[in-house]
Amino acid sequence: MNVSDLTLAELHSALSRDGIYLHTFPFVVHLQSEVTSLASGIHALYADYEVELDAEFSDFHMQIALPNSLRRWFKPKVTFIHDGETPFTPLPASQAYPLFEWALNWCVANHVRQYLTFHAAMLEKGGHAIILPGVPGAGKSTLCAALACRGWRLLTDEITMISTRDNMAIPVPRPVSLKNESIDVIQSFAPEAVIGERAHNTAKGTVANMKPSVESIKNARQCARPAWVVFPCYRQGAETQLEPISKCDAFMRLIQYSFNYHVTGVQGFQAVGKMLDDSECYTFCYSDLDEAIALFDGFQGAKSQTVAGGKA
Amino acid sequence: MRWRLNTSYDIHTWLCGDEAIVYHPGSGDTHHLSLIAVLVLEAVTPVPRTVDELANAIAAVIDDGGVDDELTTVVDRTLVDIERLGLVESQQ
Repeated sequence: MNVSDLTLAELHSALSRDGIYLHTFPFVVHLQSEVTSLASGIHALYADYEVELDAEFSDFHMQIALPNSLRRWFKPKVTFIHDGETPFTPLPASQAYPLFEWALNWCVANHVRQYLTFHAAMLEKGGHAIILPGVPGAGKSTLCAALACRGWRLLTDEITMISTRDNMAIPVPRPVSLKNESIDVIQSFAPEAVIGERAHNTAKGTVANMKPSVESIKNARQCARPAWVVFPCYRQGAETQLEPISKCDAFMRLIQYSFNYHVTGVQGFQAVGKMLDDSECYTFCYSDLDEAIALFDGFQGAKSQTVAGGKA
Repeated sequence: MRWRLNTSYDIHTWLCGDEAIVYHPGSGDTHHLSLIAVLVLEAVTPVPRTVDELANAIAAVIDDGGVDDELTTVVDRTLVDIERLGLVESQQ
């Protein structure tokens, strides 16, 4: 069953009672919450994801809870509870949906040990993955959303996962987190994009999430081979500029964006090395999304020709 | 002073072009090494060697016509740097 098979009322009712088991590949999330706006957000943005109302296993137990007091009715705040712990400060109830997304990122970043994880967006075309590591504000989510709207398959917007066993990129397609001006930028760049409710005055300003394509969710079990590592930097009015960097520079930059490189030891070191052996590495400055997409499509085209030539 | 490889740990190296990344399992640190540091690290063995011996070995690899004071100074400085990273050890 997909989330879209439930009415909003049914989803809200299930979330309020025992919770739902949401398949956010490759993880199953048990989510319980009475918050209406969260149910609306899940219904709109996770419509194409599998859901179960009862299951024996989940990777993460999450609760987005309203207070058990009069505060429930007066300027209510919501709390994220994970296995009985409350790792975050409560936020206004209007921020319940972004809190869920941030909390799920926190779960993945802090609890996943079987993969090497990076703060990076990742997309795929022709079986090859492009990895876009970046600090918040570098423009990786905007670039990621734009590429996802122009034929690239979304693998992840926030947390890139690489298998240390075979160096394949593991898809974790979830709604793309957009902030402030980038919301309108993407809405006008791709009017067909489904963007959820805006949450204002959050710690990151105004935030909203873009729904992933049905294809990216359907193909979430198809891993991809990392082929490009591109460190993006958005600057208003900047000319599109792609600069190759040495793989050693890329190595040192990349591990700074890892959530768990420091605990993966030799295995992590070797995985990064093997991944970069087969990847081209660049810094990328941009302001024009059309130019950026043309450039990355060119990457992919060249790779396809090489593969075809190799086969011949 | 003589220098030898720190054999307490199995240092892992990823070579790329003229540079290398090394991982030190003892400290858990990852370091970016320049070409000269890579050459010095390759020349150092478990058996202690003097700076002059190491400079000679490196000069043979880079084939630039022999050892001069400049190369010896660079090798000496590099040894001090990579000792700080725990990759080599010095002996009086």
